[in-house]
Amino acid sequence: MNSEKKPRSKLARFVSNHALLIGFFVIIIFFSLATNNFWSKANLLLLLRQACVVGIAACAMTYVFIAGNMDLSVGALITLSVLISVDLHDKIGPLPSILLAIACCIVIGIINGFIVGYLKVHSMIVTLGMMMILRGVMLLYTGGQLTWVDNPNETWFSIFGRGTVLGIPFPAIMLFVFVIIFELVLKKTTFGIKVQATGGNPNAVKYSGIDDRKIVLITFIFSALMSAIAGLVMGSRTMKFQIEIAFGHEFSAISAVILGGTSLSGGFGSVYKTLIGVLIMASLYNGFLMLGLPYYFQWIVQGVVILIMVGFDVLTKKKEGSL
Amino acid sequence: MKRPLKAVTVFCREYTIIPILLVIFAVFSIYSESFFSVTNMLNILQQSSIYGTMALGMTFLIISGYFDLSAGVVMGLSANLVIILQRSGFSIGLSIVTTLVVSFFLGSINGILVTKARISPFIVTLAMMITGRGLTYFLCGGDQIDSPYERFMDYANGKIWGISFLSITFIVLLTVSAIVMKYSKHGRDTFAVGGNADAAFNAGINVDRVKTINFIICSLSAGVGGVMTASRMNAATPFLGYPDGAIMIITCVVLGGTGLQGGYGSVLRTLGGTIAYFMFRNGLNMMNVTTAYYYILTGAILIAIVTLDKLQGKKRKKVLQEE
Repeated sequence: MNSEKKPRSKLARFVSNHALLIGFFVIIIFFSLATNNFWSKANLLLLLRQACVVGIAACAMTYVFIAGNMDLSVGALITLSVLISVDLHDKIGPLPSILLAIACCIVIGIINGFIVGYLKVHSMIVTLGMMMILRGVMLLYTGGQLTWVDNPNETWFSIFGRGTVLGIPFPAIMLFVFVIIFELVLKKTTFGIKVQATGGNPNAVKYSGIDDRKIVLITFIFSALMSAIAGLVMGSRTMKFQIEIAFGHEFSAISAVILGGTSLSGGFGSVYKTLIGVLIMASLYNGFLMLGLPYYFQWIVQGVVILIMVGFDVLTKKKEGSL
Repeated sequence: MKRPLKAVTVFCREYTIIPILLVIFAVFSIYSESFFSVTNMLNILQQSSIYGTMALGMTFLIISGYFDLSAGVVMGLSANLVIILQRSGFSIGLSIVTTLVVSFFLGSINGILVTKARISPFIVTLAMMITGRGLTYFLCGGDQIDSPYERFMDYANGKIWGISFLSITFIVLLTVSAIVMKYSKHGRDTFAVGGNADAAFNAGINVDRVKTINFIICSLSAGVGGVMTASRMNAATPFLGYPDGAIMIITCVVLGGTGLQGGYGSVLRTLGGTIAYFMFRNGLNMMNVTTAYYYILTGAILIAIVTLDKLQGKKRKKVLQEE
C-alpha cells in the first residue's frame, strides 16, 4: 500500500496518539456550546461526583483486564459494600462497618482470584456465579427491604460521598489519587510489569519464573478492594441501600476500560486513559440530560462512541503496521 | 466387570451434565411431591424453550470461538419491536418477519465489524448491547407496551397433545441445528475455525464468512427468542434481557460442557445445560424456596460445575496422553 511508504505528518501522528483526549474535548466543547448550563462550575463538579463510583472501580478493573481476565462481580461487590456500610452504620458505628465492608469484599476477591488464578477457570463464568451468589446473600439478609442511615447529616461517614475539600468533591480527590497510584504502580514497579507480562505473554511469564497465579489473585483482590471503596462513596452519598443500586455498574466500568484502549487479550493498558473513558461516559450522561433529550439517548450514543473510538484505534494501528 | 464401569466413568467424564441432570432429577423427585409428573416435565420443557432457542444460536458462535454479549438485549429489542410494529398497524405475520429481518441485520453488523473492521468481538457486542438497550427504550418509551391482538398470545400458549407450541418450535430448531452442525459444510467449518482459525484459513475455509454467519445465527435466534417472549406475555417491557440476559444464555451453553475456548461442543450439550438450569429452577420453585436461595445455589453450582469440568478436562488430557 502507498500509505505505508509515505511518512505520516506530525499532525496525523499527534491525532492518532491522542485520539481519546481529543474525543473527550470534542464532546465537552459540543455540550458547552449546545447547552447553557453544561460549562458551569456547579455542573462540572456534579459530573465529577457522578463519575467517581464507576471511576474508582474501573481503576482496578483495568488491572484485571491487563492481566487477561474480567470481573463481572464488581456491581454486586459495590452493592455489598453499600449494604454493609449503610446497614451496620447505626448498629456498630461507622468505622467498624467500613472496615467490615472492605474485609468482606476482599474475602470475595480472594475467592474469585483463587478460582481464576489457581484453578484456571474462565473468569467471566466465575465472577458471574459470584455475582449471583452475592445477590442472593444480600436478598436473604435484607429480605428485599430498603435500609438507610438514620441521621445522614450528623455522621462523618458522609465525607466519602458528600464532603468537599477546597471546593472539590472529596470522592473526586480520592479518584484522582487512586488513578495516580495505580498508574505509577503499573508503569514504574516490577509488580506492574509482571501484571502486563501475565496478560501479554503467558509463556514468557512461565519461563521467567513469575508466579502468574499470584499476580491474577492480586488483581482480583485489588478489584474487590476498589469496589468496596466505590461502594463506600456510593453508600455515603445515598445513605440508603436498595438491591439494584449498582445494577449494571460492572458493564459501565468495563466500557470505560475499553474506551481507554486497554487490550482485551491483556498485555497493555493505562489507568489514566481509563479515567478519560470514565469522564467521557459521565459527560455523555450529563450532557444528554442537559440537552433535554430522553435519558435513553445516552446509551445509543455510548455504544456508537465506543465503536468509533476503538475502530479508530484499530485503524491507526493497522496503518502503522503494528497490528 | 471392570471394563463397563470404566466405560461409564469415561462417559460421565465426557458428558458431565448427564450425571448432574440425573442428580437434580432424583433429588427433586424425592423431596418434592409435585415435581415428578408428566405435566411438570412438559412444563420444564416449555420454560426451557425460549432460552434454549437462544442458546442454540449462541452454541454455534461459542464453538467458533466467540460469544455475543448483545444476545439478551437483542431479545428485548425484538420483543419490543414486534409489539410496536403490531401497534402501528402491521399484521402479526408481517411484524414477526420484520423483527427477524432486523435481528438478522443486527447480527450482520456484529459480524462485519468483527471480521472486516477487526474490532474485538467482546467490544463490538458490548457496544451493541449498550446501543440496543437505548434503542429498546426509544421504541417503547420506557414503559410496558401491550399487543393490540389477543390472537398473538395463542402461539405461545397453544398446545398440541399437551406439548406447547414453544416447546415444539424449540425441538424443531434443535433438530435442525444438530443436523446443520453435524452434516453440513458450515457445521464442520465452524468446528475448524473454533479449533484453529489459522489452520482453517490455510485449509481454504473462508474464516470471515463462517464467523459472520455464526454472528447472524446467534442474533437471529435471539430475535426468535424475543418474538416468543413477546407472544407469551402479549406485551413487552424495556427491562427484558438487560444486563445479564446474554450471560444467562452463555451459562446454559457452558453448563452443557461446550468450552468457551471454541472448537468443542454440541447443541445436544446445550439442550442438557438448558434443561438442567430450568429443572433446577423449577424444582426449587416447587419446594417454595425463596429467590435468594435460588440465586445463591445457581451461582454456587455454576462455579462448581465449571471448576469440575476444568479439573476433569485435565484428567481427560492425561488419559489421552497415556493411551
